[in-house]
Amino acid sequence: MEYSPLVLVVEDDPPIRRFIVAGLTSQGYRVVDVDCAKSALSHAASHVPDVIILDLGLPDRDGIEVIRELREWTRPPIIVVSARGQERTKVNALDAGADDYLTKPFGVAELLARVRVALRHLARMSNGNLETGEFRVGGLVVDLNSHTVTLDGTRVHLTPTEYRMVMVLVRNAGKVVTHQMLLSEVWGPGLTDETQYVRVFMANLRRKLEPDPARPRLLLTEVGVGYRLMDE
Amino acid sequence: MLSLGTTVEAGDLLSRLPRNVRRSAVLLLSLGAATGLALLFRHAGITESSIVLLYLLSVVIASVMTDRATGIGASLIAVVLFNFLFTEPRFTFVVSDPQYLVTFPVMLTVAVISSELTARIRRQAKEAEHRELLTNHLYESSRSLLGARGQEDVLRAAVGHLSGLTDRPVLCIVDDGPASLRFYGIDGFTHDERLVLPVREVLGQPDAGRAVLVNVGDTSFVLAPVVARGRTLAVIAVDTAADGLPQATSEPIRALAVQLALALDREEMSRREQNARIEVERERLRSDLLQSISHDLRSPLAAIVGSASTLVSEQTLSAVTRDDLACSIRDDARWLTGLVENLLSLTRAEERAVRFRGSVEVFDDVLAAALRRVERIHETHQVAVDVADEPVLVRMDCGLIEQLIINLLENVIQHTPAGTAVRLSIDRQGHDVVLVVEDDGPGLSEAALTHAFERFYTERLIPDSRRGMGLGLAICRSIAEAHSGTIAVSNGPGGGARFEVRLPVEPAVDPHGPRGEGF
Repeated sequence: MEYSPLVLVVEDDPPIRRFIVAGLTSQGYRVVDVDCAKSALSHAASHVPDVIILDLGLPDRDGIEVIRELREWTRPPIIVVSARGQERTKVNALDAGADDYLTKPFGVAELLARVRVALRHLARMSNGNLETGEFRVGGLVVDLNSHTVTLDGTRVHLTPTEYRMVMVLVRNAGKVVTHQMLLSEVWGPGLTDETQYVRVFMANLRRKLEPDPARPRLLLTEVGVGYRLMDE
Repeated sequence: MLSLGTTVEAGDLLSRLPRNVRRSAVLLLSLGAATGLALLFRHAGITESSIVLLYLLSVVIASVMTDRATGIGASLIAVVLFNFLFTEPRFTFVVSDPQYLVTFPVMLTVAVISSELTARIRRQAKEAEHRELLTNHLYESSRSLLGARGQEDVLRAAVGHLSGLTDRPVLCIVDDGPASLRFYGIDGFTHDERLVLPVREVLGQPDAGRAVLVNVGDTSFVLAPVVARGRTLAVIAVDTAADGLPQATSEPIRALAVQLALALDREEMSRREQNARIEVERERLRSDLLQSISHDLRSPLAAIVGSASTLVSEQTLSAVTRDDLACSIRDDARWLTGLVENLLSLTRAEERAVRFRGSVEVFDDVLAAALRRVERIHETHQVAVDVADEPVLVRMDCGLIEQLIINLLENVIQHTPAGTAVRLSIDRQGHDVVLVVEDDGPGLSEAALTHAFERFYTERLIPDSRRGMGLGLAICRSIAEAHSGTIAVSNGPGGGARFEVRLPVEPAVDPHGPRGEGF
């Protein structure tokens, strides 16, 4: 029998927990669900989950703290769940070591897509990094050997900075990348308040990679948080 | 002309000397000159009465140039000199002629009285000058206190004038919440922890009448209460610099305290009035909202409850029906979610209007994100987007601007038939970014053009369209205004609706990035 990944669901609201569990089990995932930070930490240690879905509004502890504590000893992808309008919290969670987020209310399709991305990353991390070969999504092909980018067969001319940004996005394909992450990976550490540059460079990059600004398909803006390069 | 110049110079020189030296110099010069002239008179055979007058003149000159005490001193010396030098037997203090027993006392009395009078005139002139200065100061301070807007400005102006008037370290202190005082000062002296307790005590008295003197460390402060209509609004603290506070200084403090009281009272009244207005407005909004909510939330909730309970209790439904019911639950819940988002935006926009920070975002990023949240517009409408060549930066609360764009798009969906073309464009015009959302639908009626941005104004143009609360566009306006922007609606040349949002842009960043493009 094929290995089915284990997802740890940490959510204190029973109806939401129920629907997450139902959505995941119907897709063949094994699920462990808990309703507080304390059991989340103990189950993370005893069950060794492949993915953790963590609600940030837990009754017993601050979600960001839980992420920090988990990240001290374990690496499985963490997907945080939070309400809209809490962009600051999401960014803090991501910068504290979370991998992705879901905004309430979300549908089951969105939930499953995030889990798939998380599992793909897990697989990629254990297979060694993605610095060679090519990345394909939609009509976009990024050739990591020749450092070229083509869109629907046409070569896209990128500046060195834009190419470095594409590389960061490709390495994190499917996941959200915060402004801060892009800033430090592309321009190096030590810059903290210049995220405007990231925004302007990304806007220019999107003009090159998204032919129809009315319907962005590949490079999505997560307002107030960062960017996401789609991978499916 | 030359002699006048010399006199002025001599006067200047005199006034620059220390006080005692100056007095002696004046005495010496005036009496010396009188004596010299008198000796000449005597030689010329002019009578003694002229010499007496000459001495009296020198006494008057001395008292004009110095003070009362010196004037009296000059009077005595003049009499003694006259006796010694000019009365027989000369060069003795002995008097042979009994008529001098009348001359000396009269001469002395006249000298003393004239020096006394001169001193009094001088003093009065000085006081008048001081008064004029004070009046000018108070005129200036009342003008600037009247011109100041807001409690903080008023207190800053008051501190400035007080420090100019008294030439001492001063503070103005007001109550700032239950457990803290706010200090206003200038020139680096802006706080003194030792004053907290005594000031609190003065502020605590409902009608603190007189100023009190408190000793702190090696100096003492005068604490003058600022009282308006039986309430102590603030305290003025003046450092007495250990020498006490002369009358000349405490008077202007009292006068300024009165002006300050009036200004602070006026500020507080206008603040209260404004709060009351805001409160009334909020109250009205709240009751309008409640009314709308109770009316408009009931039907989707009823639909959800109905569909869900049907799914639970009826086991024999066809797959198609079950699907239908589930989809309607999902759609109603989504609609309710949108409504909640909008209500939250409204409160947030109102808060923002007071205190706006936000982050700097690329405008078309936010437009793209908003479009993604109204994906379904592509199913019914033809959407075209035209973004500016250069990314435009705007300081914003991105959640709110996203909501603004969503509401404009929802408005298009709600009020135009399927197949309508929608064009969105972002353009930079001077210091503004202009977002235009225009469609080739039926446009707005006269009434709708006037009332479109009013709360709870709704107009159903498309039969069977989704229900609306008439909040979407009102929220758009609140959001635009919270960003110091504007929103306007008109019917475009083709007859369709044309919404135009203007927001101030942020200066562009260096196109080469924080460390240059090719670092």
